[in-house]
Amino acid sequence: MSANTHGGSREIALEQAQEGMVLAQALNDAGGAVLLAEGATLTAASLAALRRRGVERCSIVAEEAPDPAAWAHAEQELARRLERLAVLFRTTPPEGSGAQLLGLLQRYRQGGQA
Amino acid sequence: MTRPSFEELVRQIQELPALPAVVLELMSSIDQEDTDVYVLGQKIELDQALAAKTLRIANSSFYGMQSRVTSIPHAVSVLGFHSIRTLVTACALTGSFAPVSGGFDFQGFWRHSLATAVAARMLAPHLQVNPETAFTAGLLHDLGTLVLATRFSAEHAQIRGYRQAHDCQMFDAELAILGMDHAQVGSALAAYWKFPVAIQQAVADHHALERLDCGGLPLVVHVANAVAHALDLSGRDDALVPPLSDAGWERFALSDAAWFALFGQIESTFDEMSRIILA
Repeated sequence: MSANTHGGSREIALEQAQEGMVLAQALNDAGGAVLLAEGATLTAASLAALRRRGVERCSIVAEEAPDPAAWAHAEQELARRLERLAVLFRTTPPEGSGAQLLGLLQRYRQGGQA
Repeated sequence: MTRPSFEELVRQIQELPALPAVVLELMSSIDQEDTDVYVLGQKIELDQALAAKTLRIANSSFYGMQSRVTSIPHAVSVLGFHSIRTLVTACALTGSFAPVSGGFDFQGFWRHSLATAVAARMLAPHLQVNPETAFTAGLLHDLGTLVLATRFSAEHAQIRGYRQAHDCQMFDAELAILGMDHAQVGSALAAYWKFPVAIQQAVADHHALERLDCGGLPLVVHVANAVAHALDLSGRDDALVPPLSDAGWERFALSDAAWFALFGQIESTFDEMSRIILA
């Protein structure tokens, strides 16, 4: 694994680069001309173009490293809220509109993905 | 212990402290379009605490005003009569019942009432119901509980004991101990105070699963009540989501994303309003 992390960016081999990653540094050709600007989002087309031009490495914006303590706390909080929902709905039958409302609330508490 | 009869209950209601005159006037004017807004503004200003709270809410994000509302006449002109009536009613009602000793959770009661009011206001447009009327009906839906807790405190303590022992709905405990529930008591009080018929009906029917198919204000309050419990806004440990009407629920026909947005709005609006009204 030839990854090298520092200061919110990560240098990776081009074959590890994927669509959707964001360049932390502009990519230049041998003559110094800019191939892709800093902040550009890699696409299938731009990755193919970079490979054709012999670019071997690129520096991409590193995803936020999750803070393990905050993450554990959020997990705990979510578990507590889901447990509380079970208590609030303790007499709701498993079928019907009450159960639908419970399902909505469970997904809402988990970040509300429709 | 002998059960109080319904007649005795109504007699007790008549001995309840009168609501502030301005609230009775506002409630009776819900169906009127020709209320003198200027006179109304003057009456509100006579009660300084009421006027101050009304202005704070008028300036909260609940109404999303661009510029600052600085006087009651100004508030009436920019928010409209309907909104002002809602605000004044909320402020005056929550201040009208002095807490009683004996273990009734007044704070929890008003938190749940306000949460239901906020939820009803947000749900109302989806059933073509006036949002301001829905807010007032939501705020008043458990009015009967206040009568029972303040005028029949011994019976109400028994009801709470039964509820705790059986972990059932309040109305089940009320029927077991008293033979009537807070919806019946509340609608009797709403009638005595000459609240608009629509609000009387919403108070009477908010748990009446078999009568909610027609939609309208009772259904808005019924679902708002369940949503307020589901979002856990009363702050009570023993909160319990009441049975929901299947036919009523289906009338909302909202997407999941729309429900999530509503939940978020209800939570943030409740948070803001409870700081002002229940302070």
